[in-house]
Amino acid sequence: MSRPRPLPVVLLGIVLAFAVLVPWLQPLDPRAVDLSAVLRAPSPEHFFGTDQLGRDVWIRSAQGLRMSLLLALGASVFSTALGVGVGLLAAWRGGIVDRLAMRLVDTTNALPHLLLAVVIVALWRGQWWAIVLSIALTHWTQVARIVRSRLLAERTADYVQLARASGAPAAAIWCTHLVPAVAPQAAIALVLQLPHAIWHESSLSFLGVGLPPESASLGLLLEDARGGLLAGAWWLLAFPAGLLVLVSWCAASLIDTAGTSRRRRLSRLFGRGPCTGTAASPAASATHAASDHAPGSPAILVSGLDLRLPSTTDPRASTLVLKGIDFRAEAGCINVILGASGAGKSLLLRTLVGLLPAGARFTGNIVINGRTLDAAGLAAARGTGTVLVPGSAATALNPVRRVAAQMRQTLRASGRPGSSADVLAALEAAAVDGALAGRHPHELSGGQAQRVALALGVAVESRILLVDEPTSALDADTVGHIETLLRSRAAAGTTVVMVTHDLELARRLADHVVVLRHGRVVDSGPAAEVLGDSAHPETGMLLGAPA
Amino acid sequence: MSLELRDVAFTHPGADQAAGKLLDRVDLAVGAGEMVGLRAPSAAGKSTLLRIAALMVPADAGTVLINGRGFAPGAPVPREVRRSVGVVLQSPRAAADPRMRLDALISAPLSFREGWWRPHPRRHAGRLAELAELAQLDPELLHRYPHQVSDGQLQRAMVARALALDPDVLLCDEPTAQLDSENTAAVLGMLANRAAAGAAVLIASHDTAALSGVADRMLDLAGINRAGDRTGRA
Repeated sequence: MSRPRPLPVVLLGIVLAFAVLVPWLQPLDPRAVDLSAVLRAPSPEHFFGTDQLGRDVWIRSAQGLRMSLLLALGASVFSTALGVGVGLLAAWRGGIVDRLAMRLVDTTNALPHLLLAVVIVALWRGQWWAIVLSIALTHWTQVARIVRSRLLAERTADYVQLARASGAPAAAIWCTHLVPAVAPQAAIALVLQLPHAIWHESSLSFLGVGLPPESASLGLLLEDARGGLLAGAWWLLAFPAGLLVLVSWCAASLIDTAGTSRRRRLSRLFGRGPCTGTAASPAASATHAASDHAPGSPAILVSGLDLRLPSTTDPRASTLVLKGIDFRAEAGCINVILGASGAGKSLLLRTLVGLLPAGARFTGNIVINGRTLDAAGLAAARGTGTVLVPGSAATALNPVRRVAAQMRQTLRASGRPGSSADVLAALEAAAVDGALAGRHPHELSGGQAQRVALALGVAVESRILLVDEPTSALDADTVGHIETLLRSRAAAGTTVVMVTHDLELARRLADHVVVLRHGRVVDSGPAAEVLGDSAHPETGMLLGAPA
Repeated sequence: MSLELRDVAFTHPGADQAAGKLLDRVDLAVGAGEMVGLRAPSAAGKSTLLRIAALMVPADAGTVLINGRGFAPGAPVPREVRRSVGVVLQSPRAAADPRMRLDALISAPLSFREGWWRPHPRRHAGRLAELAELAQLDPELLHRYPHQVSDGQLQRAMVARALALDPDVLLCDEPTAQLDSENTAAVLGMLANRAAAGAAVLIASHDTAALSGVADRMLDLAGINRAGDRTGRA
């Protein structure tokens, strides 16, 4: 989870302190009436002025806010618990239980919430728990839906299937895999419900079916303000309404940060939608000429690159994973990064597209096509000027769209026509069978998914193409097609940077080779030298290892 | 300690029964201490066959025999039978719960066997250290989450997890696809060790060069699958 923004946290703290401390320090009988001080404007004596019965609005607001927050908290906890319970039950039992639960959700959604709430409150007039109940019983349905659908998706995940296949009892699968997967969703739902419940309670009180009029809640104060406004007493409306808006805003801002999932999102690797605003950068043009920067200058020049990842045990410490990397990729060449797994090859590629894990920091110089770029600049060029095709293709494709739709989106985002014929041509150019166009990613084999991911990356026709282990799940036949594809891209002026551990592939394809070991460059240069007889001991080890 | 498939057939749900048959009348046997390589081009049904053998996916017809005990498609499988089967899938990213650290991932089968509902790596510190050493995983790596390690490191951890319960039958789907030669040798070594201890090991891969060096024999899926006349290269 990312760090919450400071402003909403500080404001929420102040508001909460106001709601807790003021009624405690300045107790005021809510029924105390002082007719000698009716409708006074805000003054040092009465910060928020007084109401029609001479009660201090500052204290009344604090009391009202406290009451509203407590009712809202009770309602959110209750409705979230109810929603999680129903969702879990539906996903767990399935069949008739699932159908009944979902029809109950539909029925509840079909009823007007306010009407149902009014009926419940009217049955038990003026009871605080009736208000909690009325809000909870009308707001649990969304949570139930989210929890259920998340669980159904999670249950088909490979890791759940694997746990089941290795004899894990159902209870263990629930506690270890499924519940932790929905817990963040439930937490977000809880926070989201809070401001909504405050508004709901206010509506009920405003309608006169909430708490008794002498007690204080934000809704009751607003109801008081209705009459006061006609008498010109703006403070009666301004302060309680201001508090209401402020609390809602703070809670909504906190959700923003609480919602950041730990899992990385890779969906924006290929092409960016027209709405992101950077599609018009020169590098985005599909008809670029390879010669528009000085001849002989490298397409990518990395010097003194250090990359630190946050430590997993100590939040303040960090680990140096790339150490003083110097790397150059010549335009129109195939540059191969070789190294054992864990050497930092993929991290180097990710640095070049600004896709580092949260908390990672790099220092050093990265020049791409003659421009020195920082992390934001690298990220801005991703999908247009530079394209990364990740190694784990299965997680890089959008699971809910067919192959053809993803290709069409990629073509259109890079400014080209996306007719069915164009899509087919682009797929077949990358050795993807046209018959796969109508399939969803889960209907592809591992090798097919990898070819589709590569096809999407190539279709952008970016000036720089970064490819992570493109052949790891492919048979020899398909590897041949991919080699041809990468060679033709390089011949068209694209700078290809490929990470691989396949030495034979590197020998066949590479113009330049860089060898990494434990985050350092141990050897680099033209392929013939690096992979030749006079190889560096580290390269020699890779060369000598059994294929 | 043996694995046998008899007369297994499978068609993708929704596909045309006649044309879309992926597997038809597949017979296959792996004996105790035997390491068999299964060779097939991509999309030929390797992964599906392995999932059927691992009793993860029910076949349309046929029998899967684990240690001589036969299971028809959809038949209930006792937990101790499942625990005697180790599975390694092709993509370690998909096979590892992103919310669990490596030590929890590896020790989960051990904890679950003892009746716990959550993995307790500390209870199995000894066995965990043994498995980590077998997988050549640095102890520091065990405290990381899957997104903080490389594909190769994660796959070694997943093999360690599959070996945690000393399975009688070990089924691996492209276990070395994401690995460099050093790691490939390490993983194949781990699997060969298990075979030497008497387990029946079946490895599907297209990387026949590395596999044929350690496998006792190689099988061609095309040779045992009579649904061979379906669309060729896909």
